[in-house]
Amino acid sequence: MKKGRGDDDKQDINPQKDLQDYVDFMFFDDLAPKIKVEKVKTVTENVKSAEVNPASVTPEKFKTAKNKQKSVLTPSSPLKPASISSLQSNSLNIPPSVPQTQNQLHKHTVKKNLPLHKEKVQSRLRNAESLERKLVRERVKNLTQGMRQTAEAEQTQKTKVQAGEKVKPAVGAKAAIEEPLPVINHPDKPASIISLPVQEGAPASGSIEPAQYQVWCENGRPQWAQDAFECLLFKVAGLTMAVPLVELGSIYPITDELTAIFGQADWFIGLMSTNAGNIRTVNTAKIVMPERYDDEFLDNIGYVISINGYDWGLAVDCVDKAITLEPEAVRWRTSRSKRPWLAGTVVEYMCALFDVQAMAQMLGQSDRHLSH
Amino acid sequence: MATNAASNADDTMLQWVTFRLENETYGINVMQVQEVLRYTEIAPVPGAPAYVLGIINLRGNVVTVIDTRNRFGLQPDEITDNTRIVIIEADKHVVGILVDAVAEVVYLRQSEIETAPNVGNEESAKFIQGVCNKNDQLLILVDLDKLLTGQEWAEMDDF
Repeated sequence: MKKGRGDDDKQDINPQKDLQDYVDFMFFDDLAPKIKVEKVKTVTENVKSAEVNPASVTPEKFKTAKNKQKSVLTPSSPLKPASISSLQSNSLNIPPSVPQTQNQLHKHTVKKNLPLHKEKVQSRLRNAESLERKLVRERVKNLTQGMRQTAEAEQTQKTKVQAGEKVKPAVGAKAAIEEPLPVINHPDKPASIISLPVQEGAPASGSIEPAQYQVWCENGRPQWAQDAFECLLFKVAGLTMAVPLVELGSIYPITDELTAIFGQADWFIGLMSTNAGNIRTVNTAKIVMPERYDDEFLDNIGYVISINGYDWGLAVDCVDKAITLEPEAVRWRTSRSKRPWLAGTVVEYMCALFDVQAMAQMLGQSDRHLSH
Repeated sequence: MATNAASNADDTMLQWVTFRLENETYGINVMQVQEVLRYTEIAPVPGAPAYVLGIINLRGNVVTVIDTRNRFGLQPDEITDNTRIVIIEADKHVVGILVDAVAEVVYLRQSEIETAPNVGNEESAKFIQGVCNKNDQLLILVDLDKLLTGQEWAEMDDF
């Protein structure tokens, strides 16, 4: 049956449905992007027209484009991704990809700015490195200057010493322990003499005083060990020994052979001629440890340490350094009948502490010229 | 001034003949030295003490030669071109002493002479009169009269 025109019109005409279809058409999800893309394309073309050739992008132009981009894009604007994509694809030669979400946009922005950040970080690193190098250079410069000044000071001191100027000996100050012992020039001999503090009121070197054994104090220590005292370390046949500085005269390096005198005891090496007189040099190793004595000691002796107030001297291998000792750091000997020269032992340095006065008196008593 | 003159008068100047022995320099009073001879053949004397080397003929006189090294307790050494026999007069006896070399004659003031150490039990130490620094050198001054004891001096006449 053929429908009549009037019937079709009756069936088709439904104003409510048409209105609904129109609304669906206009706002239905599947259809909406198409419209948006159309709009985006239009905007992109507009922006494109505002852009310049990517090869000739200058910072100003890039800034301008960016401002334009800012003006066009708003956080809520659906055109933002497309606009960025178009900007990237045109100005930075990045393949066009249209981020659809905020996260993608953020990642994209970060990705875009990554080279800039890298460059910033690298430039900061370069600055830091250059600053560090500068600091190191300055430090090295300061150190070099300090070393130069020290060397100059040493040179000046040497010059003074060579000129015969007496240098104040390092006594009393703990800080001066590590300093080298002062040296004064010997007018007759090329070798230097190391001066040590001389006790005031002590008898002149060359004259032997009658033997008077020092009386130790009630606390079992000698007079010079009531407070902290300085000692000189030296070696005798490889054994480290210490002597209190207050009881020492001078240190003489052995440059010439000592004058041997016949008919003397085997522990007597000979006479050493000095400005202060003739030093009667004794074989320290033979006196201290006769049971372990080796004649090689005589080949190795380098210095004679004279005893303050006496013309006796101890032959030693080498002079080490001066140290400050507290009385408690020494194990003082209680019985001194067997080895009167031994005042005690220094535990820290594992060495014997000489009582040089007792030794000098012991040596003096052995001289028949003096004992009679 | 007067005091200085008096002290100078007390401080007599003495002359000493120096000789070498075992790398050391010794001095003997020049007034006791008669002459210095080159080394000549020394005839050994049987039964003589170890410190007597023998006798020499000095212009017809027999002179006993003493081994100074032995007397000083030193090791014996070879005879060289520098070896000399010093003829001395001590304790009214003329003897010769054998030395390594004779050096020179030096002037020494009495005040310059220092006491020598005397440690140990060796009798030879008593020969030493003193020591003295001269020309950067330490001289050991020997008292020749004490070189031998009285009995030993007397035995010298028997050789």
